Amino acid sequence: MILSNTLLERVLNAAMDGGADFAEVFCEETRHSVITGGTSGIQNSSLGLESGVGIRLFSGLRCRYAYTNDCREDTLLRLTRELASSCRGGGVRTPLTALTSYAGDGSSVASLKDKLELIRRAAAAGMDYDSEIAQMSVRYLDMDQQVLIANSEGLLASDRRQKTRMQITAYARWGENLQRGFIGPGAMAGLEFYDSFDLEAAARQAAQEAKTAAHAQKCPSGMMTVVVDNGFGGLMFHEACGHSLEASSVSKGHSEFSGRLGQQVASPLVTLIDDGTLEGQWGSLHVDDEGNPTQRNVLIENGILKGYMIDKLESRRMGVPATGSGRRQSYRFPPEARMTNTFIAAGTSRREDIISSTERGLFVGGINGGSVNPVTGEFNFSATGCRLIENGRLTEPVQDPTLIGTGGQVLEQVDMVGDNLSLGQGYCYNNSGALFICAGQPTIRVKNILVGGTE
Amino acid sequence: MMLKTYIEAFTLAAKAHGIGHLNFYTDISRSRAVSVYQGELDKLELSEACRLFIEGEVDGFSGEIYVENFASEQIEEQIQILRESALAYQRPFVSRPLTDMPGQETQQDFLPLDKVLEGMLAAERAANADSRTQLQGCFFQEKYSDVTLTNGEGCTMTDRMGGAHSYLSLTARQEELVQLAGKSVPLPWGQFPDMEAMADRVAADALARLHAGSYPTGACPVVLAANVVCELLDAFAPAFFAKNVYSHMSVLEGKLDQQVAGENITLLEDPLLPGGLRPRRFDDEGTPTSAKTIVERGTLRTYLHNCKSAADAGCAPGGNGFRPSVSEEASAGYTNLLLQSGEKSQDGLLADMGDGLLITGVSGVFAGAHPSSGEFSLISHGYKIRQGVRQGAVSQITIAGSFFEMLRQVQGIGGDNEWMRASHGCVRAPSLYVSSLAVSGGADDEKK
Repeated sequence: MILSNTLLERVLNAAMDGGADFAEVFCEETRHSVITGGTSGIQNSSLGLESGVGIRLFSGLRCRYAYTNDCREDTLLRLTRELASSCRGGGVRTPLTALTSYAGDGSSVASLKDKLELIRRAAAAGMDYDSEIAQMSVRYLDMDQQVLIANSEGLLASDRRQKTRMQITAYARWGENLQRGFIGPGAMAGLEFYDSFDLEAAARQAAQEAKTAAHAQKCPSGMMTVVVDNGFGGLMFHEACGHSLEASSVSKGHSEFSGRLGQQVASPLVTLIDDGTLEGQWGSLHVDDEGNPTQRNVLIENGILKGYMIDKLESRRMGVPATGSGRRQSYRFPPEARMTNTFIAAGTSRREDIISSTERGLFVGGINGGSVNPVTGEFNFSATGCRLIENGRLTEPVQDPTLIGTGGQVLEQVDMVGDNLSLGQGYCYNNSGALFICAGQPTIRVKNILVGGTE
Repeated sequence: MMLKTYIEAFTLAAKAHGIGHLNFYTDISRSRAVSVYQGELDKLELSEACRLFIEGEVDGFSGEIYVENFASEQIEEQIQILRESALAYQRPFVSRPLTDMPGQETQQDFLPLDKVLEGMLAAERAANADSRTQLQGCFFQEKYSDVTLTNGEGCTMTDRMGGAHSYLSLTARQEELVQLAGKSVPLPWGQFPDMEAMADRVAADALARLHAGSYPTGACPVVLAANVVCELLDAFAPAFFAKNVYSHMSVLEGKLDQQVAGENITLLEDPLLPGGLRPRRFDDEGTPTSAKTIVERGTLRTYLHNCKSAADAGCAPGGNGFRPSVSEEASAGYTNLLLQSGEKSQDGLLADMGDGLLITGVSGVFAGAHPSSGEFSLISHGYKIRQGVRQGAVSQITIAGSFFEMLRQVQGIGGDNEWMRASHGCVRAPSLYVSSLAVSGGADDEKK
């Protein structure tokens, strides 16, 4: 629901006249397709148009937010005045500037049949992999999101974000044991992304992972040296320290990294970057959801804490500029500083050397997901594609364990960083909704992590 | 354009395109959320939304479209999407008759804001009363949704879902030690919790956990607190969904009428339970809901069916066709999922266990619990138990095992039910005493 400039200005005026000292209107129209299917047809579908407006007001360090998809003027003004009635003060509004458009080029026009064909191909390739594959579940999704952001400081910006992703899950049964394998490639692109992507190979990889898991032994428990492979294994650092570097944790002193800028917080081998500008990446944006261009934020450099991810409200509290990190799932959420594409920079070790120099430990192929308590830094993540490392060699596959630790502890215990950086795609869930993110790293070794196995 | 006018216009336009048998699923909701910080209203969030999911028949196939924009100029594009989906998916259209079930039409009022703030600010004072503790978050949300199904034949079914949710968290600090504790309480519409008492309990928990130690790695008897059982039950409920069973994605495939849990385990669904947090008279496909016994004294009696899985299985729809979100087709879910409680208090279960662990919290369930395999491995915290008595807090451990194997090893069931608003419905469960789970912790910490 893209509002006219006249209506935008009326809403902003109502906010400022009512007592806000900052006001913002976020308009969104998103066309989306989410289709889940397999070899036996479509299991679930959502095709549609999301459309609505979010109105955000500040009163000092206090935030007021309303959203609706009823975009009649009287509804928007009523909600704005209700929010403003609890604000104190007010401010002067700067007239809107000329529109700055950050929209990407072109539009992706693809038929539903083209999308179904992708699902069919992935499902068929996975089923053909092995007779133990009991089922393939393939979820295709795309979105074409158009946003318009106006605020009382005169900002008027628009962006268009096209995304696509396939979430391919294979289920393998061996006797009573039913296990899954997963791969989820995605990009900031239209359907053309799949022209240069080997979908069948990805599906077979998921199937292979499921079959291996079905035959895997129980995973041992206890403190171990852990080697996490490159790619979405970077979610370990997303959880271990990424969330703790978001302003919503840092600004009120609730993060283990609050007030530690310039201090050594990690092994000198660790450089952590959040970069929303990476061309075509699933976690990228041209402009954040507060209207600021995204940027490359170096968070930790050679183990020294260099910066945080900061949104507009918390930039007020912290007295420092925002970092192009204000993100929200949709108009239904007020924005917060969140990660985009977050990764550990490449080091110098070779993957095979990292494994061969590990006498005994756990090799983690990937990560399903995880969470963190930013106050204590306690994190957990569910590992997948795991094998034991014995005498410097990968040996038996073991069932998926959960690995736990604290951010500060893990950052200090990184003792080898590979030269093979790659990114993986996923979602991050927090107060401002489910966001598309990339997490990445080269192969990394951590000296001690607690492995929650079943043996 | 108002919703009623839009539906009339859409119906006319659809008819002109040869689209018939229209079903409209609408969700009209209002919410208000408030939080306090440092003696003031910190955040206020309001919402008013109307969302619509339309299904219709095109050449004998079923098509669909999700709509949030009710402008008349959008209708043509929306009809094209519905039409394209029908022809691409080629799923035969199946008529689902509706039964008239009118609902309330009055708008409900939120609790008076000044009263809500008074209670929340009292909670903040309680949270900050000890110099070692500080409020981190204090949040209260009220929301209601009117779900309405209508079709072209004039039938209308409306259910109102309303409720509140409160959350309080605080940090405890002492020298270098820091701990975070929190409590989430779901409530029926119109109720406000004693947040001051919540703050006292959460503060006591955070302070106790400041000095938490680890626990030796190995198999160990555990009592799972009711809130933990709710989380596990929600995580593994998809194993009961017929659509997963018939797609070979559930560990319960082929287990109907077989023993899947101990004889002391009975699992129920009761959509009209007095005091239930998710009362529904019909599911999102228009099938009347009904009470059912899913697991009876350890024996699996039924899967949870939507219309499609029921048709595949040749049985009647079970009234469990619920949408994961308004924008998605009905899939599977439940209303009030109840693990039948026992009579013992949690302390009684601890006394029966003697030595072991009380697990009072788990995290990362969405990633560390796998409903298809039934396995879980979760970061946890709680208390060491010696001779039935709490001996000190434990954190930074994991518990792991198979959910259904665990249900065979339940030695005692508490009477201390707790509710949770979960991802597929609402769950109520008591504490459980389980004879053994795999625990991973520090190797050197003694069992004190």
